[in-house]
Amino acid sequence: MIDIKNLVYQYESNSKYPVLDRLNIQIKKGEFVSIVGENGCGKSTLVQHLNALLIPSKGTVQIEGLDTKKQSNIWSIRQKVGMVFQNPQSQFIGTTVQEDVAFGPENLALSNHEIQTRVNDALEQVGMLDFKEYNPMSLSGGQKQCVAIAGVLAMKPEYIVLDEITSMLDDKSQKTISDIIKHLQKNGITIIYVTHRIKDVVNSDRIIVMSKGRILYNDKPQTVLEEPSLPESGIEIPPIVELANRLKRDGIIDTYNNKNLPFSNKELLEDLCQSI
Amino acid sequence: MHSFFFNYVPGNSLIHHLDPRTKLLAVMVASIFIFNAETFLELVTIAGFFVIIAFISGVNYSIFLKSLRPMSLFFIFLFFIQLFLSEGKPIFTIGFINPTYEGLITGLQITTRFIFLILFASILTATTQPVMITSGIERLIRPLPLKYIGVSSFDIATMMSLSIRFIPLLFDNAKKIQYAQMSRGMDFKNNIFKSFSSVAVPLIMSTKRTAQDIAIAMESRCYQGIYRTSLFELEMKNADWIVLLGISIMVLLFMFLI
Ligand SMILES: Nc1ncnc2c1ncn2[C@@H]1O[C@H](COP(=O)(O)OP(=O)(O)OP(=O)(O)O)[C@@H](O)[C@H]1O
Ligand SMILES: [Mg+2]
Repeated sequence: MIDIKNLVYQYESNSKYPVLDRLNIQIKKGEFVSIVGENGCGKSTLVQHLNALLIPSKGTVQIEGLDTKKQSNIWSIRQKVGMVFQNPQSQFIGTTVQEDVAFGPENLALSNHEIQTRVNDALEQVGMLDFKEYNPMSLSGGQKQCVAIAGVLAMKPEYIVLDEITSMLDDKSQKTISDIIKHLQKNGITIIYVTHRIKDVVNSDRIIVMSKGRILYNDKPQTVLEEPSLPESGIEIPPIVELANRLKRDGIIDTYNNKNLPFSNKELLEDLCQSI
Repeated sequence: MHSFFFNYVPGNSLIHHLDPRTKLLAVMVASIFIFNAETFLELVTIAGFFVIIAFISGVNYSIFLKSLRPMSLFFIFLFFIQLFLSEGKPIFTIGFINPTYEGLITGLQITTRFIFLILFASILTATTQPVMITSGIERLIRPLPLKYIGVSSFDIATMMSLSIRFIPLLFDNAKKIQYAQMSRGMDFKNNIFKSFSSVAVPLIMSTKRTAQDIAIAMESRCYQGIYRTSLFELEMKNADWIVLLGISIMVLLFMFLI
């Protein structure tokens, strides 16, 4: 479990007011949590605390009971919490796909045989095994992010943080990535998914909406998406959801009773047909 | 720069299968021979060795010749410096320009040595993946007392692979910035100084940002600069020992013959 208590963080170079302001968040094992919010609200700053890349100015962050403030915990925390970043360009270290995926296991000083097994395993999971010998820079944006995910998987993490990894990708690659995420969650990995596309969050167990370093909402997607003041937090809500919300408020349809939010015209139509 | 680091040609030759450490040591010994070669006969012998080894590697000779291209300006510069600045019997004299016969000879000698140096090194890079070269270097320097200068052999190896990985990216970025500035009307032909800074400043900024990002990415994957293992385990095989034995015998013979 991840336990964030009263987290305050202030960049030294930016000392006016804290970027994160007294956050309290708990994430249980196996959960799929989405973090959304407008640009600059502190999402990246928050998630960089989860593997001790940043240390709280005040408050505590604990991963499975390990406090990130304690230097001796850092390496086991980083092994437990893997992190994939937005720009694939600057997260590759190796000159081939397999070298890059091997980078983490090499740092864990695993045996040669174990590294090879893990590299193949991880690439298999993201469907990139055939690209082992390729130069990662020659891959498409979506493939690059798949390799980046494999690089984290090879460390056998319990939690994976994905920080806006699809914001540079087209719809098709996004679909591939979200399928991979579903598969990972099924394998028991806790997912922390940062995005500003509300479309991506429907599958999550919980949405945390942030604004200016604070938590606005922290609840199930269906509950959060119904919040009338949600648009004010700078989050773009798909028109179809807005329409569904409106129809529900006016008592025309009775949706959100199960997890299936109407995110496409077809789904809304089905809901409408059912209610009539 | 580009073609020299990135001319690895996959293959199955004896040379390909040698341990990178063997090849690194061989290149080192070869460069000692090259820099001691003075007579025509010695240089021809070295050329002969190059031709034979390159043939065994099965890599097309054009690949090796290509690796000389980025250095060609340097070779020409080196040759002319010797030609014009050496003391001796002048070939002709126009004002203070007087190339000498001695200059011609040393110019040819020194340039040929550098050309051979690059050629032998390119046999190494053409038959060895960059990652293998860096792990080879890492293993060779591991016993050195590097901790007194505050680095580990692992740090050095990682730095080398990062440079190999980032040099092309740097060139790419420079190109992109140059095009961006050109599309905004920057005249690269007639305004050399201004156009240089218009590329250099954004390039330094973006490189700094990339370096920070990569450092974060490395740390988050547990990079500590201390003992780490490798995907490719280096292993000295019989062929390696035979080659090293052959090289030692040659070195000994050479030392006794002189
Ligand atoms: N290294 C830094 N030094 C100083 N200030 C920073 C630094 N990184 C981020 N900030 C500031 O902290 C705030 C939060 O930034 P952060 O990157 O966490 O936001 P974000 O929610 O991830 O935004 P985005 O959606 O653009 O990724 C911003 O105001 C930003 O300017
Ligand atoms: Mg961010």
